[in-house]
Amino acid sequence: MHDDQNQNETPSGLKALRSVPLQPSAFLATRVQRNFESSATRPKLDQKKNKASFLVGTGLMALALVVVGFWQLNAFIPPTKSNEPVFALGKPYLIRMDIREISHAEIAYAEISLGGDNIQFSSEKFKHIQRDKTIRIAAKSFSQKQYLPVVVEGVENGKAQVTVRFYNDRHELVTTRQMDLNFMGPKT
Amino acid sequence: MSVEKINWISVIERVLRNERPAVTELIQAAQTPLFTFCFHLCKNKQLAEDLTHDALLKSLSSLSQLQNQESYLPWAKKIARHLFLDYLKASENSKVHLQFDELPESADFTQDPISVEQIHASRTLQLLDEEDRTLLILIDIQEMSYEDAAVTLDHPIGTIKSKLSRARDKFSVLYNDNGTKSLADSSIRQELELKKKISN
Repeated sequence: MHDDQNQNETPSGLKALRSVPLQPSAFLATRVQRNFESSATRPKLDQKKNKASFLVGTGLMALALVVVGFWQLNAFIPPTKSNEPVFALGKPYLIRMDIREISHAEIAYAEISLGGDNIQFSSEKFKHIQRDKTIRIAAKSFSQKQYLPVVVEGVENGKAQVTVRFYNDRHELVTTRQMDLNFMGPKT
Repeated sequence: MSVEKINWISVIERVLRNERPAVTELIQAAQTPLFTFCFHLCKNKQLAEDLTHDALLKSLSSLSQLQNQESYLPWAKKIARHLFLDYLKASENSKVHLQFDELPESADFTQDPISVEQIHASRTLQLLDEEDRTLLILIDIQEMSYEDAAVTLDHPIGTIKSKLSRARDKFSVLYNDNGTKSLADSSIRQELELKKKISN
């Protein structure tokens, strides 16, 4: 194939590897086709990159935020009668969803939904995200992380929820994480 | 489906016209050469499948950006290689390291038995750095042309030739290192014999 005079020859060991017949699994083609077709009919994950960047890159904002965690909410925030943590209005909160026990190999993407009209996503950089009630991010954005960061802000008093649903590549729900919040107090 | 027989230009044009059978045709034709490339690159069947899947999806989604449609396969391999490099980088950052030195199980290849020479060559290949390994996989194992390898690696053809020559020398030194080879061969033989005994 390569007839250069000055080129050294293909080592014999590599020639031996040519005859190793490798085949992917029988399901690979179906998997690719299905995912390609579904990506053509729903918003592409790549198009959500800016949103993913917002979620992943929240480290820069962290200094200005109150950091809370699922596992220690009660230690940080005075509970109400119903034991829901209370959050001030008009102030961004970084919520770190604990995903250490999730099998990342199974997850293709996560869908973060906000329950209630009184809560919105918060981002200095991506203002438009405030209008969304649900955003979807690819697993590769958080597959190496122990926590999934979500920044939210309360706009009216009352209860709200942050729900994260994790899906596999067949769009089947794998697991869910939910957090109930209670916004209270004057607007800041 | 044979890779040689497929008319990439015609298939890609039909894919761009949203013809579903053309998508199937393209995936069927590209998956084996892409998987073979990925497997030799990472020597891990599951990872190779994931890389192949992602590279196929990514290439299909951005097919309209491909200027020379005849170069689909080298271009898709370029995408797969970048995905692999991203994976390596992410693994490094999270201190998760790939285990390259595991013996390739026969199930990782096919049902066919594999020879000591093939196992030794496969192990030697993993000792090279990623770019040298990629070059040897493309040109010496998959018999790709210099022009196509230049597309995958994004180098001029002259650079490909000189890098290939050096990569072959490095491979040969490692492969023919008598002490290492005989040691490796004897351990591989022992493992193969053990497997044979277990399967019997």
